[in-house]
Amino acid sequence: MISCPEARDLMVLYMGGLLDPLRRVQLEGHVDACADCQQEYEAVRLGYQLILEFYPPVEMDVEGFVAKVDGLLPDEPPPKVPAAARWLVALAGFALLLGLAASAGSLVGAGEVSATGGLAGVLRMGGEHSSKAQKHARLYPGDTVDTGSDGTCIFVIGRYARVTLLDDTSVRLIGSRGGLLADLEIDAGDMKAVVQRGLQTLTVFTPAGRMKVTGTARIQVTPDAHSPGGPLVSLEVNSGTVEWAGEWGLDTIVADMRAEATPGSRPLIQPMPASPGQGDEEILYEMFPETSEQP
Amino acid sequence: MEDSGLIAATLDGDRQAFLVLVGRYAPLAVAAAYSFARDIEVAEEVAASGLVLAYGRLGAEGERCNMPALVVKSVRLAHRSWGMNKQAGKKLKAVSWMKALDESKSSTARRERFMNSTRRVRDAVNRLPVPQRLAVNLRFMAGMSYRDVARALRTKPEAVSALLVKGSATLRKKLIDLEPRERTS
Repeated sequence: MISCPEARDLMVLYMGGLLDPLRRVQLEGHVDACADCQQEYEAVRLGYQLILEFYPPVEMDVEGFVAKVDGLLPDEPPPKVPAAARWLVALAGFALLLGLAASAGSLVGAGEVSATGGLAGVLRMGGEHSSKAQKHARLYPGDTVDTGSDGTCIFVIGRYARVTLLDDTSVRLIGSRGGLLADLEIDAGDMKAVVQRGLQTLTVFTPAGRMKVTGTARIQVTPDAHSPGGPLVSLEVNSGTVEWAGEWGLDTIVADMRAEATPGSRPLIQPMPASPGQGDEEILYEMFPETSEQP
Repeated sequence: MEDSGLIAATLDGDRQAFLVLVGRYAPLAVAAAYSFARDIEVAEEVAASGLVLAYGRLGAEGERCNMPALVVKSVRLAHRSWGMNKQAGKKLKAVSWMKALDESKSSTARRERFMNSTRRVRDAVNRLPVPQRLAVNLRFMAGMSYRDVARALRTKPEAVSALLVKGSATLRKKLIDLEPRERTS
């Protein structure tokens, strides 16, 4: 027997004739006996037919597209990372995982801390700890947190800030004030910072300038072949303010505004687009499991 | 040639090997980009930028990497930085909805009805959550198998089916007045 949710999940595979005989018989038996699933099956079948009929595949000039990409590729081949180095990063991630599991405070001290390969680790810094945080897992100025591909790292700083690092993010912890971490440097990736107003500011150094965050902000640093000036730095401010200082001077970006800049250029500040799909990116992160297949 | 052989050749400096991969994954890249951008012309530009990013990451990923997943991830990154770069490339228009539509219907009235239905279905798909949209676009826009979609999204075929079930059911609810012709899948 299969349950209603299981039956529903398999309906499209059934329609495509892709279920093995046992599952097919189980699904047919369930749908015959369950009025709710019969109704659901009919809705799914008609919706699926709508897609088949009215959602034609796009026509694509693949050769033209390949030529376009050829024109955008850099002249030099991609930099090779020796297999041994990839193994070392994976080992570092494993060691970190062991350290967290043992709650033995093994992150104390300077050096690289890697959360590669699916570690959804919660690291705590400073005094107060959240219920999810691992006790004794402390980071200090001089440490680097590198989430690797598909890693996530969340740490809290005392009572004033919570920082979430998403995949492919590398952050160096560079300074403290009042016994708590206060300065970070992000080289690449995607970080979200929630800084409680009135207590302290969190300073984030990026390739395109220094940001003082008070409130909730998302900072992304994206390497991109199109940006002749270097990596693209994007900022979204959800609440509070961010002071962005660089060679041009100082800009204050307020809530519901976003800004982008490459190193040396003044940020282009715009209202954040209010699209119905807002928040979808969050769902995507759930979509891509933490423990993806490893090469 | 397998992806791993082409990636190894790319890392050895064979640019053409990467362009073979580009040709292989162009529909996937465009369908993924369309899922994020919801505009076919922007999608083409984002897909091209995403493949350039994927090229730069090959060394770190290694020759046995999951290439479809790397393409989807790189396209997602490229879409994030799209706002800054939209003036960078000229529009190629290698991708079009209209060609498919032009060839599909002959009489003007029928064509008009068909285009209207197509537009409504496309709008409804564009309002689905990203994972469902990705699954629909990879399966139907790019014509990938369930197994390949699952590999690109680093999940199982059953999970792809579940996304399509949810998407199909939502579409039916939104477009209750739009009746498909009965036909087998």
